[in-house]
Formats: sequence, structure tokens, C-alpha cells
Amino acid sequence: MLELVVLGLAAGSVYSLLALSLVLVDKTSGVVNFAQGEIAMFATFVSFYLLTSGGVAALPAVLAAVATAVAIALLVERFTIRPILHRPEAHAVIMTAGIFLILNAGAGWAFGSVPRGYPTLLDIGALRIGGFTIPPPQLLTLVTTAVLCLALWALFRFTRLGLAMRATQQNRRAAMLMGVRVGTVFSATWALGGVLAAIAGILIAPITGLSPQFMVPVLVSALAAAVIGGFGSVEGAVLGGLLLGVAQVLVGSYLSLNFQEAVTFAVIIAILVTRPQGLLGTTRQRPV
Amino acid sequence: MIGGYNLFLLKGVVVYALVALGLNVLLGYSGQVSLGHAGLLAVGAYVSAIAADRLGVPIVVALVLAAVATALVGALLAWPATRLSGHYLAIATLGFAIIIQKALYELPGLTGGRNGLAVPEASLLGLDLQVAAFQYWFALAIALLAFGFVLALVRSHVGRGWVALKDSVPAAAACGIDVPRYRVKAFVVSAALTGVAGSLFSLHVGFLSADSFNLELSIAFLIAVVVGGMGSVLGAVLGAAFLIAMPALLVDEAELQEIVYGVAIVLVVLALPRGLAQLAEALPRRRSAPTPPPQPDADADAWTELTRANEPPPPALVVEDMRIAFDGVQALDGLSFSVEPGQAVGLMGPNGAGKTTVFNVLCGYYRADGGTARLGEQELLGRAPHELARAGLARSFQQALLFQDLSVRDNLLVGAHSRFEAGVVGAGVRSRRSRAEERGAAARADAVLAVLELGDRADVRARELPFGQRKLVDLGRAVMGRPRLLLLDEPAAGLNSAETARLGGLIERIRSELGCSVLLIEHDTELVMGLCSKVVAIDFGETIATGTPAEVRRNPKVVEAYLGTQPEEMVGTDARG
Repeated sequence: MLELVVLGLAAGSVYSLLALSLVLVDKTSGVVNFAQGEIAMFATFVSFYLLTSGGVAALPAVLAAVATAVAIALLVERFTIRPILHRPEAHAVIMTAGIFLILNAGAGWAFGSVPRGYPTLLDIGALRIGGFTIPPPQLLTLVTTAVLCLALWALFRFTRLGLAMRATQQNRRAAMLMGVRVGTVFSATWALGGVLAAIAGILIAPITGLSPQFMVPVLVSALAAAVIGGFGSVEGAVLGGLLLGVAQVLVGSYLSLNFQEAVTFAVIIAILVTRPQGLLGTTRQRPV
Repeated sequence: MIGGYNLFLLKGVVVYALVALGLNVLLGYSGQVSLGHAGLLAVGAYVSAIAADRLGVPIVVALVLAAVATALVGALLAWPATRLSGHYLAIATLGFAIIIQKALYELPGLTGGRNGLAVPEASLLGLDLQVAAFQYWFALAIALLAFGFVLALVRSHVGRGWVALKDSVPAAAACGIDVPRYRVKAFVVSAALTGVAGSLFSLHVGFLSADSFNLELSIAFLIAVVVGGMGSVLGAVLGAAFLIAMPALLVDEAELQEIVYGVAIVLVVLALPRGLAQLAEALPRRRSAPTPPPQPDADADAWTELTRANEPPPPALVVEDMRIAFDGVQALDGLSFSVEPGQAVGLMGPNGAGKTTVFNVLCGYYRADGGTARLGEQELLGRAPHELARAGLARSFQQALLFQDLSVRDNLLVGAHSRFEAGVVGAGVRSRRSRAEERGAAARADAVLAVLELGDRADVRARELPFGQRKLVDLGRAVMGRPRLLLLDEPAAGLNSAETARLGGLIERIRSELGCSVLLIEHDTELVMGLCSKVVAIDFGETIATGTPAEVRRNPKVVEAYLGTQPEEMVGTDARG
């Protein structure tokens, strides 16, 4: 059981990373990027080709992947999202759906849809706890996520950019009036989202295999995680991801794999109906 | 005759156009996003096929069953939708579709599971519907009926209600629209249409496989709606044609098609926010009956029309001990005042005193922590805004809060929403009652337009109006519902002195001729002095003075509240409010 929980945490931490990228972007620019998983997928493919055909070492390949994700994210934000920010939310949802299609089909056309294996990039070995062993990919995932969360916390707490981001999230107009370059904050946040997404993709690819579709269920789970934790809450995204990962593994083992996804969504819908602000989000009473 | 392949494409367009129509009602009109319409299509298709297969019912019955079943599923899906919007709703609908897809796999006895389900052959009046041409005509006939219904519906008070709640929930509620219920109605109608499409789809493809009802299909329908044009019935057809024609015309590879779709979405959302139908809007628009030029007696005629259906004199409003706190701040602290029948009362106080909060509590947007507010025998507190609209309350908003995408006339018509009794079906089939109600409301709207002297702007979209005219339309909208108590929130804010004078005359005439009471929040002292027989001054959520305007103005507590100082301390000053 403990072994299942740890495996669940590992999967969950990937959801947390992707959920984090979704929540950060949403808090700042008010848009949920439904194409975030596809950005991760593209970046992971880039690293794959560099690692296998290009003979590139792990670190440069990862950096290239991150750079790819950042580039796509910046382009998408600047040219397709920023122009429509003042429009009803439905337009942005649809726009990111369009980006989803372009990236998804583009990957299929460019890379082919045959799934392939993806190597674990850093062999930090396995870890023995109690009676069982945490396999290297999962261990790497847990460690990386912890490090990234810490880095993010430091970014928000100690840097000017982090402060600007928080200000923009809380009150965009006031931030603008205070001299914050909101456009820069948007770009930076989307770029950051791209970084998190790329790393999430690289971490989970060894476990799920690499194909143009491999991030779709991960995105779906990340959305669920963000909802559980409360879309407005960064800590909630992390918590939601971990909880969801564990819940999925437990349901998958004790019930059936097919039910896994369906149960996930039933839970999501139940939460949305009863407590839309999630575990850690806050409700807002809007005056007229 | 049309060749086999093209006929196949045409059939596809008809089916997809129906789904796009359904999704358009949901997204284009009521502004609710769905990423799950593939799931609804699946329900319609499978119910139709299974009913024909297991129960042996004829195709028309199977179609009706599919519509009903899908409508029920839509109602179920709508339940979370009433509290969600934007991306939350998108996620919930996405999840829903996934659950439906999984259910299809997990019930092989019923649906064939992974092996799929063959759709039984159908015939209608002796015609074999496996013949493509017959199937096409059948589908087309059904589609035309559906389009006719939806066209009538979106032009009725129901359609206006949907656009209203999309543009401004508080204003829609104030006009008597039960927003959650209307959201559900949109889902049910949308689902029913998709269910019908599902039945036709099952005939079209002949074999159902759960795999095909996936996220990509839901996105495809979204593409059809967006590219075709949200909020446009014609757009549904254009979008479906785009969806079917693009792959056939351009490329063969599935992935390139998807890339084209994606690029199309991006370009259309960026450049043509109202879709291809926007291009069709360049054509001269069909206008409602032209407003006749103003005649000498037009004003009198208008007032006669407005007073034609006058209610008996309104009851008194008595507010006692109203309290509400926000996060520890006591916004209203035992506020009490009254409005006599037919009286105009001014509510004054410095900014932050709680004036708009009083309105928001009276109109049901906030739940008070204590106190009562009675209009005659009825208790107002604790009721929803749309119920209060029916009870005779109407309000205007500081920011006008018009429905931007509706014309001035339609904005006014929404104001009369609480007077419509016809339901969705009545509106869709243009029943006698629905048509009579529309005529009555239209006559009243014309009268209001004449009174406001906005007859020549009747068909202009609200977003294009200058601010002063918006405030007038807001006032007119409030009057449309034949209110007993009119709550006006700073109606003169942003108006120049000429506009303000005219506004004062209008409000006075509304009060005296339409026989309603008026509660007015206003900073413009001249307006208050001229209109109101009583003024209630409040500060920090409490009443600090009541009396005639002249008395309240001179009241030292009032002066202190506004100026922060005792009048004696100011040299040579006449106490000004």
C-alpha cells in the first residue's frame, strides 16, 4: 500500500507541475491554457531527437526542450492570447483549443504517431524505503518537483519579477499604474509555464512512453488537480496534483484501470458543484 | 443529380450543422462553453440505434427518444453548469464527455463495447433510408424544422434572455431572468438538438464506435461554431460546411486537416470574432417595423400606451434594522427608513456610506444578516433578484449595465421579461400566446423609445451608445416591467446639466403617471431637491437624518458626515449637502 502511495505521489507530482503551470498562467492573464500539455509534448520530442539521433548529452537536451517550450509559449501568448484578453473568456478557451489542435496534429505529422520509449535522464539510482524500492524515474520525479517548487517559492518571495507577478495577479490595473510592465509579466509567466510543462513532460515520458498523445491524459489530470486544489491557489495546484496521483493509483489498483479516469472526473464534477473554489481557493462575493 | 461522394458530404454537413446549431445556442447565445458535445452526440446516436435495434421502433420514434434522452443528459450536465462558467465549465463538460465515452466501453451488452454497434436499417413511409438521397432529404427536412424552431426561439424573449445573461448576470436577474434556470434551459435545448443530430448521424455512418466520440470531435464542433459565427443561426451552417468541406477540398492527410482546423480557429478568433457570418452581416439587415417619425401627439400617445396597463397604487416600502457585514466590516448597521406609496425618496450619504449596498440587499444580490424589508405585505429579503423583479422591483445601475450585444430595442424588451409567460416550446413554435406577448412588449418598448426620444437609435447595438444615452436606456429598461418600486442608482452620474434636467422631468413623470414609488441614490443635490419629497441620509450604514430635502441639508450631522466638520467652524458657509 505504501508503495502504491509513493508511486501515486510520483505521478501526482508531475500533475502538480503541469497544474502549477496552468494556475500561474491563469492567475496572471486569466486564461487557462488547454494547450499546455501539447507544449510539453513538443518540447519532450525535441529532447528525444537530440538525445537519440543527435547524440546530445542529457543536460543540453533538457535545456533545448525547455527553450522550445518557452519559445512556443511566448509566441502563443504574444500573438494569439494577448490580442483577445479583453474578450469574453470563451474566446480564449477556444483559441487554446485551436493551438492544441495545431500542436497535436503538427507533432503527429512531424514525428509520427508510433509510441517509443524515453530514457530516464538522470540515473540517481533507486531508493530503498522500508520493504520496497522507489524506481529511478519516480524518484527523479519526486526530487525534481520538490526542487522546482522550492525554486518557485523563492522566485515569488525574493525577486522583483516574482513581486511583479504577484501584483499583476491580484490587481492588474493597479500594477500597471504602479509601473509594472504587465506585458512583460504575461510573457514571463507564460515562459515559466512553458518551463514547468517541459520538465513535466520529460519526467513522465519514461513512465508512459513518448507519442503525440502522451500528454493528453496528463493535461486532463492536471486540470483536475487544479480544480481540486482551487484554481486560484498555487499551493492548491501542488496539493491537488499529489492527492489526485495517489487517488488514481489506489482506484486503479483496487477497482479497475478503466474506471480510473471516469472516477477522476466524477470527483472533479462533484467538487465543482459543491465547492468550486477547491480545497485552498477562496470564494469571492462580487458586488454589483 | 448529385454524385455519391458529394451527397455523402452534404449529409455530413446537415448532421454537423444541427450539432453546431445546438452548440451555438449554448455557446453563442448563452455564453456557456462545452467541450463535451461529442458525448451528447454519442448519447443521441446510441439511444437511437439501440431503440431501433432492441425495441424495433420506427426511425421517427427513435429520433424522438434520442432527443429526449440527450435532453435529460443535458439537464444533468447543466446542474454543475449553473454555478460554473468559463474554464470551469469547459473542464466539467470535458469530464462529462470522457465519462460517457468510458460508459460506452463498459456496457458491451448494450453498446457493443469495443466492437461497436451496427445501426439497423431504417425506412420511412416505405422509402428505404439506406438510399443516400432519401436519407439526405429526411435529414434535411428534420434540420429545417429544427432551424425554424431555433430561429423563432432566439428571436423571442427566451433568446433575448440568454444573450442578456451572457452579457450581464446582475442586470439580467434584475429584469426577472432566472439565470440558473435559463442556463439549464440552454443546455437542454442544445442537448436535444444534438440528440436529434445523433440519431441522424447513426443513419449516416451506419456503424457506431465509441472511439469516434472523442475530444477531437468536441473541439471540431467548437470550431464549427466559432468559425461559422457565434450567436448566429446562419453561422451553424457555414461552420458545418467549413468543417466538412475543408478536408475534402484541401488535403488528404488527417493530420494536415487538423492543422488547418487549428489555424482556422486561431485566425478566425483573432480577425473575425463573429465568424464567417460576420461577412454576411455586411448585407443589409432585416429591420423590425420602422419607427414612424415623431408626430405632435406622439409623446402623449406614448404615455397613454405606458399607462394603459397600470397596476393599482404601489404599497409602502418599510425597511427596518437592516444589517450586513463583509469580512468584519459592518456595511449596514441597523438601517431603517420607509417609502410611502407613490413617493420619491432620496438616499444620500458620503461615499462608502452603504447606499449601493442597500440597493444590492433590497434587490437580492446580497443576503442581509438581519432586519426586514417589506413592500406592503411581502417580505423582500432573502429572495432572489428575479423573483423580486416579478414582485414589482426594478432598478437602474450606476454603470448602466446594458446588454452590449443587444440592440436598444432588445434591451428594453428584456426589461419586460418578467411579464412573459410563454415557455421554450411556446416561443419556439411561435404560439399564439408567445406572439401576443411579443406584440404587447413591442408596443410598450416603442412607447418607451418615444418618451426617451431614442426612436432613431432603436436598432443600434448598446455597446455603440454614448454614456448619456446608455443611462436613459437603463432607465427605460427598468420602466418596461411595470414596476411598483423603482430603485435608481445615481441616474445622473456622468450626465451634463441639460441631460440631468431632462432626466429629472422624466423620473417625475414616471413616478406620477405610472404610479410607482421611487428610491433614488443621487449626489446631485438639485435633482434630489426637485424630485424627492423626503430624503434619508445615511453614514456608516446607519440613518443619520430623515426629512424634507431642505431639512436634511441643514442637519448638522449630515454636514459633518460630508464635510467632516461642524458648520459653525466654517466661516461664512451655507451648509451645502
